[in-house]
Amino acid sequence: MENNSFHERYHRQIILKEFGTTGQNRLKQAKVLVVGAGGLGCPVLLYLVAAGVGTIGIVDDGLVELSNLHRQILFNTADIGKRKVDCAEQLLAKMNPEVVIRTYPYRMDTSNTLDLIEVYDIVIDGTDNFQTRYMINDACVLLDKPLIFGAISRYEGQVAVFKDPINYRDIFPNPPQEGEVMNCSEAGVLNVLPGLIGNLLANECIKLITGIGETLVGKLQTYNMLNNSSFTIDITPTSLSSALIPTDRESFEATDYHYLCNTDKMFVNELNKQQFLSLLENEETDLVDVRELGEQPTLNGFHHLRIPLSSFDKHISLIKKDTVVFICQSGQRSKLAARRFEELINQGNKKVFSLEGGMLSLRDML
Amino acid sequence: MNVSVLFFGQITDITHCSHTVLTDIADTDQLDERLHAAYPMLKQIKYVVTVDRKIIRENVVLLDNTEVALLPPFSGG
Repeated sequence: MENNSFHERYHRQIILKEFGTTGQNRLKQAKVLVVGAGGLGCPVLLYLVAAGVGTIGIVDDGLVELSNLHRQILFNTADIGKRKVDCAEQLLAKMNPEVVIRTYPYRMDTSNTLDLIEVYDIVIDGTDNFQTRYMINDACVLLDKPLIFGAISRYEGQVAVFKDPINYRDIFPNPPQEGEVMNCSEAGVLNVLPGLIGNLLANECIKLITGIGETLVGKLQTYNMLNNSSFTIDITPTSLSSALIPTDRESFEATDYHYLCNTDKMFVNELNKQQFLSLLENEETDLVDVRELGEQPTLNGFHHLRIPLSSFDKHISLIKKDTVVFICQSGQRSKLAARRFEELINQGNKKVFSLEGGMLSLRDML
Repeated sequence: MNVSVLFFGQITDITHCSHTVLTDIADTDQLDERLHAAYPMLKQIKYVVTVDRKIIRENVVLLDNTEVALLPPFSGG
């Protein structure tokens, strides 16, 4: 009976000549760890569970928020405030009770990552920050696990499959500094993009497990949803990359991924909202919005200059006052602007600040 | 001699275009110089350069109709 329902549930993929019962059994045997139950993780989980991957782990320490719902399609309005992994597990178990789902409601760090990954065959990275991405990459190299990588930026997405001898550091050996690259809460994202990219990740995963078709092993594909173009490059192993990756558990656990991607190196004075408001009241200040023109919401009610980061150097001379506060969407790019300003013209004779949390921290005032 | 240059992700915030054609460029070092002069903010960010869809780490001679791309890392998920 179980065998019958097994065949019936997966009938349409089992009748595919290349896939067959062999492919289905391979899926059933497979253990896949999905890191991040966000825009990318949701479609990945839906399709892998529906396809009949035997065991699926979900790592996410987040709670469902209203602003997730347009793209994180495992969750509904009644889930707001609940743990993502619990909501995901509930829905996925109903969808396909044959799949074993394990949930990990915490953040991966160097103390738990290796143990977590070790029991899985494949890892899918759908996280939203470089700190975790570099850590997962290094852990997969160390444990020799294939890593399926997905990331998005506005209307474009990147997909790659890393497998010995190739890893993410063969493209980008070192992490960018915090603030250098915007995440979705800053840059925005149209909901179908993570849907499309997430499905590409699920597809790579199914091909990798079943052995059908060609995977993106050793390639990085960039997909642009606005013009449907895709651009695929070849990745070759570099000696630099292997020199940067911890070679054993001890050195992995001792690596400070937070520091590698982080601001501690930037030395920018940050203001919280209260300090910011009192500064504006008490000092002649140039408030500079460094977001690109057209980014929303506008900084209504505050006298300010607009110098987008993309043309920052050219218009830097517009800044005249002795106290300067840079602001952006979430407080990342403004730190970059503050650092650049210090580098270019300020010799310590002006007071330079960045507003912590950016526009998002002023939400209730605009 | 034409070199076609493609820009991806947030690099287009700096260049305000996703594609440009540059002429009379001998190699990728010269291309870097030319791009940095036109778009100084490029110096601030990380990206990888490909020539005909292969990542390059050293100076590479550019021939007519070569395609160069500047790809930044994406982090969103």
